[in-house]
Amino acid sequence: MHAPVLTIIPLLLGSFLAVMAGWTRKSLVYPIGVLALILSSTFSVQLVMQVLSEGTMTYDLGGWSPPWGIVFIVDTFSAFMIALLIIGALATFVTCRDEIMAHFEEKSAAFVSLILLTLAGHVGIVSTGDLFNLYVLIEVAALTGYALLGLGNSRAVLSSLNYLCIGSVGASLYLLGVGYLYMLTGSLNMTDLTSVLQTFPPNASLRAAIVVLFLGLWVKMALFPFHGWLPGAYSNSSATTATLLAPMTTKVMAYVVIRLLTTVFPGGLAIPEALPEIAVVLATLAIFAGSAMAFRQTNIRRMLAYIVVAEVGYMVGGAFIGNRMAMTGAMLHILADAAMTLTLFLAVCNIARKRGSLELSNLQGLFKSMPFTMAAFVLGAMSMIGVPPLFGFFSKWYLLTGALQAEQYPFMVALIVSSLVNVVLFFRFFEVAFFEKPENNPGLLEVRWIRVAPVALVALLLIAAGLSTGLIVDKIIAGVIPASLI
Amino acid sequence: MLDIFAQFTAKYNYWAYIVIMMVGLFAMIAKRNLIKKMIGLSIFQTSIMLFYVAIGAKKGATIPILLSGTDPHHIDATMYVNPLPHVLMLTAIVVGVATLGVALALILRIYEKHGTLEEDEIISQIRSS
Amino acid sequence: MLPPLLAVPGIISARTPNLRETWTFAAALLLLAAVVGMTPGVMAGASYTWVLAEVIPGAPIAFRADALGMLFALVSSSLWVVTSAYTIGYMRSLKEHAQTRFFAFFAVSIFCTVGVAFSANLLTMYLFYELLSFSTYPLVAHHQDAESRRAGRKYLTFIVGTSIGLVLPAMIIIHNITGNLDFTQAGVGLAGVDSTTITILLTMMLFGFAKAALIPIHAWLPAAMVAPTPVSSLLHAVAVVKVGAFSIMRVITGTFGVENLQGLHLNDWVTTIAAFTMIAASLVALSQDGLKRRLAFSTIGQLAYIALGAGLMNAAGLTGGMLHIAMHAFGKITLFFCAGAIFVATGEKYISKMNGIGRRMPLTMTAFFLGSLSIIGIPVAGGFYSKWFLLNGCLDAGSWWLAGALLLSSLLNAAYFLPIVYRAWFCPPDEATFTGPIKEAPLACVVPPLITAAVSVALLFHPDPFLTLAKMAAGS
Repeated sequence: MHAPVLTIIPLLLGSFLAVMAGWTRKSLVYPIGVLALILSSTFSVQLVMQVLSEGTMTYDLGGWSPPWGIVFIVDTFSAFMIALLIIGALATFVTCRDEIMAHFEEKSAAFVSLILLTLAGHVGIVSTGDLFNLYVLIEVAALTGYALLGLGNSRAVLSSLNYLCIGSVGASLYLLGVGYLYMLTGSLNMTDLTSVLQTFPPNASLRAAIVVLFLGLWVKMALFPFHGWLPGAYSNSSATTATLLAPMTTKVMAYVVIRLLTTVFPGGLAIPEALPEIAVVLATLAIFAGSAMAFRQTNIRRMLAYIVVAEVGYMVGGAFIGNRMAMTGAMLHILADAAMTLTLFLAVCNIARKRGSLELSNLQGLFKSMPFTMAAFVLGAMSMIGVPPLFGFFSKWYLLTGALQAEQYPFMVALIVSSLVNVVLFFRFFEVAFFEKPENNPGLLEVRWIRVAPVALVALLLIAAGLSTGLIVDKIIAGVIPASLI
Repeated sequence: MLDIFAQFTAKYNYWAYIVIMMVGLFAMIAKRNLIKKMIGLSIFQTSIMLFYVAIGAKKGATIPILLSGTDPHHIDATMYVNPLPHVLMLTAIVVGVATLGVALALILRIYEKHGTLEEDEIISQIRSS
Repeated sequence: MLPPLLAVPGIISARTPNLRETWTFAAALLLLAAVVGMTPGVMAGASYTWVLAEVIPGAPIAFRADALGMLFALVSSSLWVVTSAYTIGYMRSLKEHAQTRFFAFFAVSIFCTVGVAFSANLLTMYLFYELLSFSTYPLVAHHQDAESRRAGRKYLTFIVGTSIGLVLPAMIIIHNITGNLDFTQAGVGLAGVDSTTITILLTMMLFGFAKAALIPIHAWLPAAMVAPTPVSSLLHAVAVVKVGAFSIMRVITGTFGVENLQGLHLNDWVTTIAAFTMIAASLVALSQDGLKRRLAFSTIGQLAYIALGAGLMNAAGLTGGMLHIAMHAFGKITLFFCAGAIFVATGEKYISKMNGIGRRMPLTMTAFFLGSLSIIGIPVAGGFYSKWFLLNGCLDAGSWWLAGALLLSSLLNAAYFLPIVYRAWFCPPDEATFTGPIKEAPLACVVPPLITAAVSVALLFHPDPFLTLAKMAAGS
């Protein structure tokens, strides 16, 4: 009954207790974090089961009913996404234990607390059904993200500050858009807004409101050309933070865009006609630009960050193309990209642990010394490239089909070119890891099994999810897209 | 022409908010000093708060606390300013304060490490290290 | 309803050499047993199907064992057993490194090959095609030196570049038009589509399946010869390249449909491309001094025969093309085995240095001779049969110039094979080249080519089950 909120409560409690433990008994900090995450994961899985059997769940916070009260709406896609986010964070937490506890020393309690808070913020973003509540949760997630990203060397701090500026502008633009909408319709609740807009006459203010709203979200999800904050933030920060945030932030913002497009403005309601076209153009440019810029990078994490920029293009393009196939592709891609990015960044975490620097020249002979980590990385890379039966292939399939049906040929070309560029990017790394030998030639130097198990599980999940795509589309996605979208 | 001028003067406050917003944005982009950038961010966020509050304003209305002696079943909404935007902006102010706090903490770290608050000097220090 | 792939053990992970080799053999024999077990049923007209996962509406991951697939699977699985024996001898004699990785990826590659053979629709075939590209990369790059790095790069560029760049969009367009990617369609869904679209789609498929090595996307094949010879023999003479040619055959018969294509006169387009590759590759082969490179170009030409058979689109042509999958496999693998045996025994890779080697390695060179006769098409070995059908197909289609091209190509085959045999037997050995006493290659390297050579000869007199399967597949 209380399931939608139960996923967040352990996280909030956990973050509070972690700070307390940091003052009293340091050794409890990590177990509290793990416990909170496990509890939260259990509740999220329970939520998925409930939603799959009973249908969309709504939860009125504090008992106040909408449209005045804030409501949490969880449908199949949200529930699945919540579970993925929390389990992904758990995987990162378990893998990066040494980094969290040892690397930050006196700040580890704060670090754990911030991790739990940012996760709570992101889960809230996915669950909420109120526009202003969404702003607040976006900022909660973002602020804790800024703090997390700032816990590193001075480059990290500067990148975090940069992210802070750009992210705050984005959130403020979103807030401005919500303000306009409130001014025009008097409602902040998503479902209420839709019903008001059904009978609303066309209005320049309304069009401006929606443009500003989406602009703010695009800035937050690093859509080209607002992507400037992302590479710096994800490559200069500590490996743990990047692994935590990379699968979360951009995907959750893409989720928000899709939520708005399917629930609040279904069937292009009130959306100015130019907006989807511009969005698809930006998405195509994002794919080309992200792939091109990834090419020039010699640091693995920076390369992955630019690939994330390209992946954002996939999701936004799919969402705005405007047919069912493309929307399905975008939603699948959110799930797939979260999993793929998590795999790749987790593997890179392990590699950084053993090798230190992540410059290509330092990564020789990795296949021999870290075979399991590299095997997981290869699976993640093949999913990015789009090799069946991995999950990434099927989301690409739907996106390509949707683009074909809408005759968006540049987008199709961008998708194919991006796959080919990914082959080159990843094989550039694989060549160094396979053909070259490191100077001291240590032989097998893999990380402990507790660090390999999560990344291996997520990599295998890519295969399992790929094979179950039919099931995922039928059960989880198809019901969420409004029937009017063909 | 007169029409546009009339529209402009009728909604002069909204125009002011936009000017303030642009001032804030300009400060964030053009200024090299980190503190000035943060001031710009503050100004930017403040302009949006002003915008919201202006939405709720009504001519001749008073603050949204029920006047003494009003019948609880017959409240005339036009007499009171809309409280919802005020409430929303209280939240937004808190968010703004928190953002500023985090930003200042980050700037403090940068200052400790680099000894300067000018962005170009910091970047050249990082590049040369 | 046998799930064909459950019989293919995937990864061999044992570390100790003997245990690992036992696994390899066990896996190969299991696969062969499973495939042979299904053969009688398929030859009687049944076809086993199994759906693994409903991933995309109209394109599940599904398997079907029908005549054409059976033919290919039989060839691959029987040759895997033989190749395993050969590989073990080869790798041990040369004391190659990373043998566990080698055998593991070898098994995965065969798994993918059988997967392609038994695919029921285009998506499944594409899936195993892609997996095959990536699983053969560590085999091509096995030596981990600069040359294999370049070769690996070329390999990926051509094979993955074309499959993602050409086949994937074509597949999506076809799925969008027909809603179904099954191979039983025989072009039903594409019947009304205009000829430009079909031509473009067909061309994308022809060049997209770069494993079939049609010119101009053939350059990966000679480059891949840096791999150890067991890789070159089974994969690049039989499995990988045949996957490409098989895919073309499947797509033409199953997805586009021969009636459709003939109606649009696209058979001429396919046969022209095939004939060009046939002649050009044979001409280049004449100029190659490296034995494996000459065999590689010969393979390119021979694959074009299969494409030619598909392009002829009549019963004789199709039968000939499909039969050639089997005949060429047995013949070419013999030749590659011999090349490897020569390398193991003498360290030689160049034909000009192989004078008089027949005296020293009589068994090997006899096998070579028989294999080359099969490829040339002389009625001593099975290759004659497939060429006979192809020739009949050309004449049935009324195309004299194609028949002429076929004969010219056979002459060229003779021109680049027989001199090798001549040199080996009739030229005096260059004493300076051979330093130590040359004897035959180790038994494990000599017996397999003799076996496959014998089978090549036997196939002339006893072409079943391949001929029956080919006729069944062509007739349907």
